[in-house]
Amino acid sequence: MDEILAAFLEDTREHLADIETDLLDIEELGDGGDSELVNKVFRTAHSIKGSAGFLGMDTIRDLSHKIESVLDAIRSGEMQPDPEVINIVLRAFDRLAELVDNHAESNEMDISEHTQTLTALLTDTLPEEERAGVTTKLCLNLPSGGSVLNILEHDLRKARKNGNYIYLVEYDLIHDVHRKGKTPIELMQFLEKSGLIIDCGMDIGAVGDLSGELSARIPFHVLYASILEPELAKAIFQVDNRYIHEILDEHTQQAESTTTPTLGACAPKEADAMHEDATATQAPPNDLDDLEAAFDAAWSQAGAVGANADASQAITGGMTKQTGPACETDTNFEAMSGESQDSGFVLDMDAPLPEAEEADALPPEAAQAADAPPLRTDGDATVLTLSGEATIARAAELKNALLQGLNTGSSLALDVAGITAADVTFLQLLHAAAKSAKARSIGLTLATPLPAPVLELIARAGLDTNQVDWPASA
Amino acid sequence: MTEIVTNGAAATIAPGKDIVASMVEELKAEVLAVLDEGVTELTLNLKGVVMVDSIGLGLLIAIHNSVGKHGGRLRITGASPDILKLMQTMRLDQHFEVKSA
Repeated sequence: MDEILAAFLEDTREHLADIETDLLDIEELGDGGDSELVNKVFRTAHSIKGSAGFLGMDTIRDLSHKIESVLDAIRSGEMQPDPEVINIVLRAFDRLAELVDNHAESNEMDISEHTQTLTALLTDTLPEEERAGVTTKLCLNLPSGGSVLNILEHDLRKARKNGNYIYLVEYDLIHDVHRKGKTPIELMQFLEKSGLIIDCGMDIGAVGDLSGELSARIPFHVLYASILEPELAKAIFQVDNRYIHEILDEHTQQAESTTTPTLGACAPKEADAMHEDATATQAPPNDLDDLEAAFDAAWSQAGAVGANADASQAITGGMTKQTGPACETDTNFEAMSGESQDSGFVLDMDAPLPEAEEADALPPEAAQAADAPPLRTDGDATVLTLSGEATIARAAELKNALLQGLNTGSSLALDVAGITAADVTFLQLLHAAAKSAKARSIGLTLATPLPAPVLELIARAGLDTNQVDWPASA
Repeated sequence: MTEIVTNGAAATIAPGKDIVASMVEELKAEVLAVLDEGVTELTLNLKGVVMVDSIGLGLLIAIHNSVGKHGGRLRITGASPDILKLMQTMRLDQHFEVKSA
């Protein structure tokens, strides 16, 4: 432990030593400057946050987290690195260095001045109607009434903007994890790898105490953002459908029900609270028809919201530019090719994909592959070769490759023999491609058998590919 | 081999092995015995613990609930990086203190 602490202090001091020069360089270069330099400073804050959390230095963790959020906004172009911004970040880093120097007492040290100014910077980057969301908490009232998750409206909106569906999944760690031979660590690793945990909570009151038998139930609720659409999510979460609830936008009016989670303002409602009508409830779909109907409702709502979406959230360049500004987060293949239909069920392929947490972690070979989707013609069919790691880090690239393949208009065969690793985002892409191909009456086949990593993933996810739209075997 | 050190109202229990279904009854009995002696400040030292399964997690929560009923407090120390991260991602650290040291 002492070695871990010593290494943390040494690393942190070393990183912080360069910060001032780096930040001043960023300011000088201005917007569109050296993105690698912004990345470097971002990574410093990110790694301090992680280590401090591990070492129980909560104040250091919280301050570096705030700094990280501001640097993330600079990195994504939402915030300009002007002198005022850089000065605030510099002063926050100075305070961080003081905290590190006094790490033993750091949890008792005050950082409120810095967190307030950093939060104000973040608030300023948002459209006016979204500013309240940075501090407005929404409560998710669970059907059991046993526990409540608190989330910042801003976090929920951000998760949704990236083209995600929001689900509340009610796990029972005994029934859904232990009896299936899994451990909580495996569950959390799976969830973290396949999407974003917005919040979660254990209903610890339901577990009971040491008097009597140990509880046969451990309710665990996860509010989760994923690009997996409901049809696939059912297979992935591995719990009974009754325990998966799609959380629709808070502006969506739905009939209230006592059996579904409700999203709304927390506690005393303020006179001007815009969430008084917030009742984002949705009956859990029991069959596909219900599901499609629910989905259509979600889509039309999302489309309306999407019209106001920040254009910077859309994937830029290439294919998605054609979708036009009206429905950036929610257009589908049909809209793209000018054959827009009312159904809107083929939603996913054009929704911006969640950015990997560390965009810079993309392996160099992936970046190269992005340049040229390997398409070739084989008789009447087009063959698209997908290889390497088919994971969330490359999901946007693979999606574009599939889109280009489908846009040729001829039958498309997928050569996937060279896939070396895959996560659930790849299953979502294959499923979405199959649906889009069907909607366009184009044949989509697998030119090669699925390689072992993909087969293992399908087995692990419990996905029955006969039950969902899926590329046909050759 | 479980190490138990009691000092007035404070006690530290170090089970020294994975907290899983096969051992929870044993650990539960040891914790109950310590609480019966009037201990309110209970520390579970997880040194040497590599895995906590769902049943083990349930026991930790039940211990927290029992200690809380007596006006006491549960702290977890010596958690491995994996277990610490698990407790943090599951937000259990909002209910009781979890540390790696």
